[in-house]
Order: sequence, then structure tokens, then C-alpha cells
Amino acid sequence: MKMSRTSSISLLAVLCAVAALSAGCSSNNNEEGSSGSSPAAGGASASASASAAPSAPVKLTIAQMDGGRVWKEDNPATLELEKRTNTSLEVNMIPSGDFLNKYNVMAASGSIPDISKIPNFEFEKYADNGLFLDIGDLVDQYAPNLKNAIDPELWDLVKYKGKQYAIPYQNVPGKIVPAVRQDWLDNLGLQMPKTLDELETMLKKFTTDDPDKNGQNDTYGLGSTGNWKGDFTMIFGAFGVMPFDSSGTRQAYLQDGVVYSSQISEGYKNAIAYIKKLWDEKVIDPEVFIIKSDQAQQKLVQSKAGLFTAWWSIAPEVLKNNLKMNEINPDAKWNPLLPAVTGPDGKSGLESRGSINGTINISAKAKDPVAAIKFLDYLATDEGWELATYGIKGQHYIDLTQGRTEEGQKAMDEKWLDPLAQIIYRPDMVDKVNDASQSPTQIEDNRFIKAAREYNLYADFFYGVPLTDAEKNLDPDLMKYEDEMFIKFITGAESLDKWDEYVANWKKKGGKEILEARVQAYNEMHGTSYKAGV
Amino acid sequence: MGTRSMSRKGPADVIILIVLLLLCATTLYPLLNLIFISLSDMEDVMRSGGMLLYPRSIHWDAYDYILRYAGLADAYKMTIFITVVGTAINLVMTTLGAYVLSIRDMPGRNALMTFVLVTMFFGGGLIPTYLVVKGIGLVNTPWALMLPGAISAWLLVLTRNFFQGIPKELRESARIDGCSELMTLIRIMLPLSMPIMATLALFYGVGHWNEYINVVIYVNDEKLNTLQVLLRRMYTSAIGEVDGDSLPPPVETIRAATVALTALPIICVYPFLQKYFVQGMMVGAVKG
Repeated sequence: MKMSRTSSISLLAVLCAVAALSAGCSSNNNEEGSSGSSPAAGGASASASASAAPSAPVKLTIAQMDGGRVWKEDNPATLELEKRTNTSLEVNMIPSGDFLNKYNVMAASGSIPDISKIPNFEFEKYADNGLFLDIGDLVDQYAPNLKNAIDPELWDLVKYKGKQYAIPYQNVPGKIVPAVRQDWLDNLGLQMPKTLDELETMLKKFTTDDPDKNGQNDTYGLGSTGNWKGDFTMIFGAFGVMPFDSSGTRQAYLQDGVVYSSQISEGYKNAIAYIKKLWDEKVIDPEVFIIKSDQAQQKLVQSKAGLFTAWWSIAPEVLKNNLKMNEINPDAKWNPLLPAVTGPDGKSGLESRGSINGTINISAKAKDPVAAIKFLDYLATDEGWELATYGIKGQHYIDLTQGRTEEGQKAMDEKWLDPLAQIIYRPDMVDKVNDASQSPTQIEDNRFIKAAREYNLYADFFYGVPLTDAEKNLDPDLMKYEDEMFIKFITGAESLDKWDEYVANWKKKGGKEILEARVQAYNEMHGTSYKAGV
Repeated sequence: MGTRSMSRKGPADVIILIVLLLLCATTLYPLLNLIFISLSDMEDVMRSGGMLLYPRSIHWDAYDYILRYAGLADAYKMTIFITVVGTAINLVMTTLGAYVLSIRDMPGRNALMTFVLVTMFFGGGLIPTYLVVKGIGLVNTPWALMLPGAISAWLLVLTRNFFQGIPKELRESARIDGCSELMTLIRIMLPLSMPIMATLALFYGVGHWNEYINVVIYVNDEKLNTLQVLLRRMYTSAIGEVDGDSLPPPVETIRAATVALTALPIICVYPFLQKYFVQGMMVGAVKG
């Protein structure tokens, strides 16, 4: 058939439109990892435009991780907050897992909000591109409450290249607690272990002496939480090193002006030897390296292990409340193992979870940075913090010690009352509230929260130092090697006699290069002149 | 199908039947287990280690927890909206594009086809795409979730192949009877293309229903959040619950309930479309 020419051409025209659409847009379907953000912001125009007319509310945009909260336009608590601070807020709650993806596209398109809460030390990358304002002077001038609410040490910790781009979001670094089955100890007539030897004895008896008195040989001493990197922290601490923490960060320590990596330290070797002994005695849950956290927690609930090490909330909150441990076994009782067991040199401790877990940053393009700072300052006052966290006094809560009203509790259940509670953290206020609580859950929680803060903590020497190129290139392979070797040494697939070979390989595979690069980055950041000990 | 009479059932048939039933059970059980967990008491779930053959008692706590969540109704509305309207847009655009490309004597057809095919393998990347979407003013509107992906190159090819399988004489005779191209498409081609339309609707519909990452990237307004975004947020908040005043929610059952609420509505669509679905895929594949 011959088609008429004109109709073919009109078809062509339609097709062009269609093709253009599909060409331009079909890539949307790919979930791409973020490529690096391109510098988008121009010079920082920190024109401190003093808000002359207090009558008109200042518009402020905020982006943060949602933390499970919903932003509700007609939330009386945030409306009250807007009234008291004379602002009009526009808040973007971004799902935590995809925060950086989204923030990268916002940054690349030059549309970051006035106030951003960025996880960890990620702000450094954006600050390098000139996206954030140096707010040191503004804070001094306009935000006395904010300044006082946060430790001076933390303010210094987030200083980057000599400038204050960030307001630290405080974090309590002591969050890890080794928890022991007190009822098992009682059944066997044991005391809390104080040394590594006593720990070994306890684990052995937990394994072989039927601590739950069910007549079956179905228990282990050391249980898992589904992340083996966190399961041995107390043992490492007793040997005076923290080779890695539960999030996988390799640690380093300073000695006499030289920075050493814990991954190749003598203490680490000794710790491995000790753990290997436990492994050979079969007192460690053999699934420790492969189990997932759900199953691991179920095992703990089913009384398969008598000791584990994890966040403070696992024993009282997750096992007892969420997973109904006491309904299944009414006698089960977890106690914090405090103080932590000490090693041959009298050392002890656990991993630190870091003293900040995010930063608040002000956009270099913010129309009214002073208003933004003042707003944050209000959130740092007792009154502002209470409003952001508990809602309106009398309506949503009675007072800090007596807790929420029914209306406030309902709003919390619906997840909309406190969307701005994660901007400024006031540990002192939180403690005050927790201490006053009459709720049995909170009282149980408090035992673990308090215990977690008692331990000596091993923090990484490089905490807060931005990622170096050497790490970006070499770290994945090196970490894989480290993990493999740790597991091989423990399970006996590789003899510990090969330790020197391991150290040599470690240096060759990038350990040396990374450590040197990090020391250099640290020296540049802090103006020191430490050496790398490799 | 079903026309062949099964007059005699030999032992082989019985074995085949048993094997198929077992196979059926292995695919069905995980889903049922999930629903049982979502309806159970947390204690039962923990005792059984997460495997339930039937719920020992019915509890609605998990659903209660989810349905209390503020904004859930809006999210459902939003998801249904983008699923219905988005799929309609997809169908119109894909059909138009595929029809044109299925006409063999159209000038420049191969070049244009190549142009479409390239997008199957290369994308612009997240940030450039975002800039385009932002540039045409779609950010923070529901249209950012429907227009940019209006055509999937793969489904366009599938549809084109289907159209090519329809005898071109039909189109010619329609021409002779005075149909315009559009009328030919609507009156002749579409009635013959219901299998592929059902396939398209299903693929696109499920895609819209499960929309997550695009919502995160393109939408800032809380009111425009879809079900998936809200349920994920709800779930993360449930596992991270450390509010001293209220008992933490039953996490396992909530997780199961979340999946049930998300997956069941779309699973309900399958049986109605499935017969077309298989047929549509096959026809497009064989005759292309």
C-alpha cells in the first residue's frame, strides 16, 4: 500500500514529540546513586539584613530527615512556634535512607533550603562548594542560648578549615551496653565477670551448664545482634584497642605524637587470640558472622545466649517490649555488664558512637540568615525546646515531669506533634524528663541509658576528618581484606602465626597510604604535625 | 484451553497434580504467612520464630497502629491518583508512539526507532534529569511523577511489535473506507489490541503504585507524598520508637501489615488482567 505523503509526515511529527519525551525522561526509572554535586552556589552574600519590620513573618525553609514524623500544616504546636518566632516555616521531611540523594539534586540545582540538617560530617563536602554560610559571628551575636546549649568542644569539632559552617547536633557517644542474663548468673551461682578470665568462665558455663534449666544443651555464651562488627567491642576494649566499630569504621590512636592504626596493633592480635580461644571452646554462637539482626534478636528472645553487646535500647526496648521476651520467659532478666571486663593491662571500654550525629547548616543564599539563627536560638531555649518536643503546655503535656496529656499522646501516635524535635538536641532536658518518668518502661530504659554512659569509650582519632581520596580508592578492598582475615583468624581458617604476613599485606593493600593521607588531612585541619606510624 | 476432556487420569496426572499443588503452595505460603503474622499477636510470632501455619488468634493492633498515622488517607488518594491518571497518560502516549513506529513505510522510521532504543540503555543521570524536570516547572507537582516517565522505551517496543503483528490489510481497508490515521488507530487497531493494552496497564500501573524514589526526589510537599513513602516512614519510625511514655509497637506484625497494605491492592488487580497479560507478552514476542 502506498500511503499519502502528508499523513506520513504528520505521523512523523507526532512521533517526534513522543520520542523527545521518552528520550528526555526514560532515565527516571533508573535509581541512580548520586553523582557528586556540582558547585552551584555563588559567593556567600552574608548581608545581615536586620529584620526591620517584625510585623511580617520571615519565611524560612528547612530540610531534614523525617525521623518518622509527619509535617502537618495545621499542627497547633508548630503554628505556635511560628507565632513566637515570627516566622513562616516550610519544612521538607526527607526519608532518611534517601536523604543524601535528594540533597545532592537540591544542591546541584541550587535550591537548598535556608536551614538544612545534614547527617554526620557530610556538610564538609557541600561547604567545599560554597553552599553554606560561615555563621561563627552570627551565632556569637544573635544566638546566646544556642551557643550555651552546646559544648564548646563540639563547636570546635565541626569547625571546618577554620570556619564555622555548622551547628553541631549533639549525640551521646555512650550508647553501647553489654547485657547479661542475670537469671542465668543466679541459676549458676555466678557473679558478674570482672576480668577476661572470669568472662571466659561465665561464657563456658552459660554454654555447657544448662543455665536456663530446660534440660537441653541449647545455649551459647556469647550471642549475636546480627552485626558481628559490634559483637566483640568489650573484648577489644579490654585489650586497649578498637580495631573497628560496629559501623565498620577503622580506628586509629595517638601515642607520643605518632598516629597508629588499631588494625595492626599488638592489642588487636591479642584480642583475636582470645576470641579464637572462645570460638574453639564453642561458647560463641556459631552463626555470629552470618546471622541477620531479626533472627539474631529472635534467638536472644528464645534464650539461646546469655551475653550480647549492642545499643542500650536492645535489651529493655526491643527484646523486652517489642519482642515480648518476658511473656515467653517470665524469668528472663537482662542486666548491664558494668563495669566492663578488664584486660591484662587493666584496660577496659567500648566503642564510642561519636559525639555528634549531624549538623545544622545555613544556606549561603539564605535571604535572612539572622532570622534563621534567631529561630534556631529559640529552639535551644528551654521554652522553645519544650514547644518543639512536647507541644503546647497544658494542651499536649502537663509539664516535663508529668508527661503528655491524652491529646498530646494521640498526636504523638499519629506522628505529627514534634516534627522539629530533631533540630536542636538538649541532653540535659532529655535527662530531666527521663529521670522524672514514672513509666516502668522508661525506668527500665534508664538503667541501660545510664550504664551506657559509664564505660570508658574508644573514639577514633580521626573523628570528623573528611574522607580522603586514598580512602575512596582503596578502602573497600582493604576493608574486605580486614574482615576476611579477622573471620579467618577466629574460625581457624588462617593460623595466627601468619599475623606478620597479614600486617605486611595490610600495608601493601592501602593501609599505609590511607593512614598517611588521613594523618595529613588531620594535620591540615587542626594545624598539627603528627606522623603516621606505619 | 479447557476444551480437552480429561477422560482418564493416569498415575502420571496425579503426580503432576501433586507437584503443581506443592509448587503453588510454595509461592502462596510466604504471602499467607505474611498476612498471618500481620494479624497475630507479637508473642505468637516470636514463639514460632516467624513461621505461622495459621494465626492462633486475631489481633488488629498492627493495622490499628498504621491506620492511625496522620496523612495516610491523603497518601492513598495520591497513590490512586497517580496510578490511574499516570497509567492513562502512559497508555495514550505509548500507543501513539508505538503505532506510528509500527508503520513500515513511514520515513525516518529506523532512525527514530534507534533514537528510542538508545534510551533503553543510556540515561541522563539523576541530576541532569532533575534539572530538566525542575526547568519545566514540574518539581513539587504530581506531574513530575507521571510526565517524565510517560513512555517506557521497552514497553513501546513491545507495543510496536504487537501492532506489527496485526495484518496491514486491515489498516488499508480502513483507509479505503475513509478513516483518518487517528480513527484507524482508535477503531481498528485498539479493539484488536486489548491484550497488549492490559499488559501495558499492568506494567505501568504497578510501576506507579510502587513509586518511591521519584517521589522522594521530586516532591517536597508533605501532602503530595505517596503511600510507599509514608509507609516506609511509618515503618522506620516504628522500629526506632523510643518514646518513653508509650509502649513500643509490635514491630514484626507491623512490618507484615505494611507489606500487606501495600501489596494486596495491586495483587488484587492481577487476576483480572492476567489472561490478557500472558497473551499480550507472547503475541508481541512471537510476531515481532
